[in-house]
Amino acid sequence: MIVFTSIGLNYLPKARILNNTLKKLHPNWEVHLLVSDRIDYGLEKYLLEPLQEFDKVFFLDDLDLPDKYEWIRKHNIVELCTAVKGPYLRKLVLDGEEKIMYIDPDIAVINELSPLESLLDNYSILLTPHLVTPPTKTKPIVDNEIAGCMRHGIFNLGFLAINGKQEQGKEFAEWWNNRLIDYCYADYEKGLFTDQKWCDFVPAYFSNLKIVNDPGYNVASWNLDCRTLSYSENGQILVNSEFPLRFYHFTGYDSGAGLSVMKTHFGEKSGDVPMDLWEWYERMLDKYSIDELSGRKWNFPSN
Amino acid sequence: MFKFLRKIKEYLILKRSGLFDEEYYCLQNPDVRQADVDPLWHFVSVGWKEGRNPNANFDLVNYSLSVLASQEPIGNPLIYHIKNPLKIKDSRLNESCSQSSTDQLEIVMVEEKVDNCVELENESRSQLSEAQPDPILNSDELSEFVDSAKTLYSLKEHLKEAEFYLSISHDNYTKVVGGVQNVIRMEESEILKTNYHYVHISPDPPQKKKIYETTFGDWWVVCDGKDMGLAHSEIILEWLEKESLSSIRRVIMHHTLGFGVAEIERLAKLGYLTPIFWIHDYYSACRSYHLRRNDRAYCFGPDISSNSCQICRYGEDRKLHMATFKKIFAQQNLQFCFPSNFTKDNWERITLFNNFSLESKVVPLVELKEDKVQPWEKKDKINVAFPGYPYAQKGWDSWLNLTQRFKEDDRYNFFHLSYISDQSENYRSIDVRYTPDNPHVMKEKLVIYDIDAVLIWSVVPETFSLTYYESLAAGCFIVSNPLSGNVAKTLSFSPSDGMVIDSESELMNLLTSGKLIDLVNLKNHEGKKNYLIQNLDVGYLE
Repeated sequence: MIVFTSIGLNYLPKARILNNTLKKLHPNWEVHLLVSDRIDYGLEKYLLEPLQEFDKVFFLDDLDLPDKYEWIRKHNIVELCTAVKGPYLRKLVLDGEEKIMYIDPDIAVINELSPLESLLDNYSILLTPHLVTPPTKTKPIVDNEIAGCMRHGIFNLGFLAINGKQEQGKEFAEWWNNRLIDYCYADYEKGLFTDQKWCDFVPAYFSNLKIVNDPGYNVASWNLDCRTLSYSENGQILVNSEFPLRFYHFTGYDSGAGLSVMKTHFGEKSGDVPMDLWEWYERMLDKYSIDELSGRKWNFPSN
Repeated sequence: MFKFLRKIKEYLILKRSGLFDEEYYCLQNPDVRQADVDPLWHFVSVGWKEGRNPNANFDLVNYSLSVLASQEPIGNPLIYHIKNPLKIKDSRLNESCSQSSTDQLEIVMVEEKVDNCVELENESRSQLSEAQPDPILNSDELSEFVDSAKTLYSLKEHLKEAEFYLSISHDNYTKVVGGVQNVIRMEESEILKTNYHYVHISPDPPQKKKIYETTFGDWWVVCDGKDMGLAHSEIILEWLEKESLSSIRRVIMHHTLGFGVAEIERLAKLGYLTPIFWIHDYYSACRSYHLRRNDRAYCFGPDISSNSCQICRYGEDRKLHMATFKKIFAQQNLQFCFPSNFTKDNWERITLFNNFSLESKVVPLVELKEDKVQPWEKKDKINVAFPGYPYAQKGWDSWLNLTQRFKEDDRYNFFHLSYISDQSENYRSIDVRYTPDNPHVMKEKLVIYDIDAVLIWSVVPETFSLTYYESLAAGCFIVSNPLSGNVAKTLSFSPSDGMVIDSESELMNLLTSGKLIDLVNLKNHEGKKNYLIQNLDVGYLE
């Protein structure tokens, strides 16, 4: 299994948490770090060790793309780090890799992801939807369905997996790459939201898709209102009292939006498990932070 | 620069040498005796400079004069003599002042030990502050050494070489009110009825050190309920190991929070009876001794590799914490005491410390004996209380919700009985202060205020709960929940004493429906039974 994530260097501490939590559970999986950034002069010595934690580090400068620097300039940092997912996935497929997973850097893996690996034996594409049960109250309908999914896409592209040896896996990688090269922008007026909205087409275009609606995957503050998190007596975190929490997406950590959404749902106490997770992530970020990166500006020119 | 450390070094050398005659010194210097200071410390600090002789055979002035005739200034003449026994041949010095080669070797060892301390001190200081290459003792360190000497002196004066029990716990039980502290008070009280003394040490400040730390720290020393003062643990340990070894009857470890492994291992080797290790909570399973994940909710003490431990702030070093205890338990000969069967089972389930034989026994902290039965008239209005500290783990939030909801309900009067009093319009606060003479003042207050039902709503397992037994003794009906450990377990064997209900909403229903009043009336229909509380039976110490 190849797992890759995509960052500007400011997200390196988060990617380290992803790498560390993933490697603890799957020491044999290969983790690639795709960096859409350049290391400033003098910063190498501080980044060498953190970058060595990954199995492979791939810089955007080394990615083979036509008119690359002009293309880069058309994107802001979020758009670029998202857009490069397409060419890198395609590259891995062309390199002959079989099972490939993309995971956002602000995700932490809590329990084994082996079931996903097994699913890739039979399916070409795996996607996780934002919502797995239809809301019944007006507020979540407005917030989650209308303002959330209908605007940003049905699936959360913090996670994606394909089997690069299967025909539809290859076709998906090719198609998605093409779209991301040309249309990976957050441009709501044109109906675009980076890579995510494109994947609303996937169920129509690719039959061998598995929509992973096990609620234990891709839990985040924006879907906590339709999931219940608890601890079992043996200390495992369960979603809806049944499904192990596989990975948690700390969306909106830096902006504070994630915490604020949690507080809106649960009040100041925010529920034991989400608050435990949030505070743990805070401690992990302290542990993996790199002082020299704080306050640093992204080193690629934006449009 | 290291004037003070030098004094400590000299203090230790003279102590070992046997050349300082404390009795003689006090007799010759009544001012020293009256000042109630350690005579040796006085001699090392100022006495020798004032020409006060250390024993009947060593004349400081004459000795100094003979040395000064040919040498540089020598400092404390007795120290100089010990270090240079062959350089000065003076007929005015009695034979008793000469040193054997064995003594010399020991002195060298003491010196090395102190010198190592100085080196370490030097090293760590220069690491800490490069701007301070010439370290000196700060005023805190200075006072620490003075305190150690004073404390040791007071302790020795108090004990006068008599036998004693040595107990340890996380804080000074004479100053803090709580379950473990109460047990220690009871234990001390029973032991003092015998011919033995009761020495207690606790880390100062409490809770600072982790069990796997190998450093030594400060201890607060209490003897027979009297404060002896503060002392460095190494100084106390050395005294215990070298001078009072034969006087220590048994070491009783009530709590090891704030002690380091090196201290515990040395303490566990003391006493001529097997040391006792009490399990009053789950500290040996986790630093969060009530097993509260992130100080929020009971975690059931899961496996270290669980999600729960992974994301808990106490989980980060739990592996090391438990491994340290496992090593201590495997290597030291200890007898374990559990306050209840529930706690023994739960502790064994959580720690899995079962790969070595543990000698253990269950010792209830108190026992109840039937007393008078108060006449009872059926009530339609009852007094309900929350006895004890207003802490989250004791279920305080549920109490606040309960009293808020039923504050206008005429069927109930609410009381909070605690050492920590608070103000609320929803209930009346009653101050409950323990005294050594009346350790069960809680029972007394529950009777005085005619409390009918109490909420013992601990959301972490109680290992015993004195409050529960005090409430039973006062004839109260107990309302608890399944998480309350020994309380819930005990109630399951005697359902007439109270009830265990699953949730806060059921608790609310109990009051809304008036069922609680019915249950109180049913329990007391033949009269309100009171019980006498029989204090801790210290038979386990023999």
